[in-house]
Amino acid sequence: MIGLDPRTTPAKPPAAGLAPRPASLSGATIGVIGNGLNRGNDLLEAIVTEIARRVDIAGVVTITKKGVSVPPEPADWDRLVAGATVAITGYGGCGSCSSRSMRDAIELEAAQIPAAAVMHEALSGSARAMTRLCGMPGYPFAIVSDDYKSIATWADDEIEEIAAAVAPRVITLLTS
Amino acid sequence: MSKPEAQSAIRAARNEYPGYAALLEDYFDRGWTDGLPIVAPEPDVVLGFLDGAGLTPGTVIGTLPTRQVEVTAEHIAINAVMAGCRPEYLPVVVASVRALLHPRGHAHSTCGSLAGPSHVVVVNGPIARQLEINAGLGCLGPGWRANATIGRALRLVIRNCLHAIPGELDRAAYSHPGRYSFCFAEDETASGLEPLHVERGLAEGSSAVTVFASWQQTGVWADVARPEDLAAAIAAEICYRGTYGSEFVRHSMNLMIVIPPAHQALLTAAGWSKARLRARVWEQTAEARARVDYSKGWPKGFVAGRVMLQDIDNLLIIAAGGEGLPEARVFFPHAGSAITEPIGPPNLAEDIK
Repeated sequence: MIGLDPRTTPAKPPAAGLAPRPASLSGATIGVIGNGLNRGNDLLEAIVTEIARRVDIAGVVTITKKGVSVPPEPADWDRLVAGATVAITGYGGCGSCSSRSMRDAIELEAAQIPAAAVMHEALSGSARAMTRLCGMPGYPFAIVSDDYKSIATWADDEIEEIAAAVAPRVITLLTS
Repeated sequence: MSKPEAQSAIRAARNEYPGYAALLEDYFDRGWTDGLPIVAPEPDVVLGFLDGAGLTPGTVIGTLPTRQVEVTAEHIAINAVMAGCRPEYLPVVVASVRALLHPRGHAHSTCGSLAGPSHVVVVNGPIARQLEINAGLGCLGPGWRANATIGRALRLVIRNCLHAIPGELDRAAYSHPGRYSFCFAEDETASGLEPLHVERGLAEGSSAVTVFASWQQTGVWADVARPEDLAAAIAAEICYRGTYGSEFVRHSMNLMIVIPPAHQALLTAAGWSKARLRARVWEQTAEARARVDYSKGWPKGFVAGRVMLQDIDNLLIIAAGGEGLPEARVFFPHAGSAITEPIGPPNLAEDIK
């Protein structure tokens, strides 16, 4: 008896591998692709602030998507890719927004921009599934711990704590 | 296309088994089922489905770019066979997949969300009666092959073709029993009310599906004597619970109201149309709609008392259900629009034996 495989086969992966990393973020322009999930954009901003405390960055290019689970608008994407030398995506605190933010990071790698996706621990399964689907299993990302709520309804002091905890990992992900 | 040519046009990988029991266990092990047994998708059976619908295997029905997915007629036929569909159901499943993958349907969200919405399939037109898709007593539950297997086929497509595996790209915290299957027809003949697909711009006498990702469904008890009181009860439920809003879908967010025969009779006896009921419900949700502050973008989340609907035509009203219970149902939205797609080709309904 013959049975047919019911699955689709993923199309060609968007990225061949990691974009080349700089040795440090000194002089970097940091791109930020925020999805607007509750206070997720505030966290990304706080992470950039943490990075700026450690090194002199040249600037920031921030875009916010029109929905938590959609790609950036083409004009926003063009602006970010034209201006950023490295980028942060997120925040992955819900199901489809985490996988989409992971996809944003992988598409940045394809555009030769080193990227760091910021995900909540509870949503790491969705993020990892997207890395496999995009032909980049094991693509590393930064994780917000289960000590904090996933859906980004944080207080100001929590955002500062999370940013301080996550920023070193983001720096490691973006540099060689 | 000759049979050998058609066989070779099928691109799916073939797996050989000593018998059905071995196939079934392997499909379970590989995670290709919804936890229930499936019908073996043998090449000849799949080809029979495609032939019956006049589809070639490689015809692209829809795409989901975020997931690197291109869904073809072949993929849908394989999953429809597995679901237990009859061959003549395939055009309904194909139209459902087309609706699911419409950009405004927002499938990456509705098939990946923590909320875990169910994908409701409403069938309209003569095909519903020809295929015996139940619109009456028990139509939302088990016992009806067409309802059960068409809805299940869509769910298997979501699982196998959109890679919506629980804990991976499907991150539903609870998920929902409606995610096994959620398909029913509108009762067009008994109610005398204008069918959903005609209200949405398709021709009378045509057949169509409407696919709607619904986060929650509630009952509205309304043992009332006047349509005004029915409208008030439905509006009160909508306002009490509030609705989710989506910055991406924005003004095309829908809400679905299912009214049973008791309420259909109430409307027709009073000379009310669906449009009049809709207008009344709309009017009575005005305060809850006005309460939404859009000045800083679309509010996030699902908040009681906050109704994020901006177009009266996005209240969808469907006649269905069994006699005896004066209870309407409200299907609240998730993050996608309800999409209505014709079931094609246009002469299909007449061709079905």
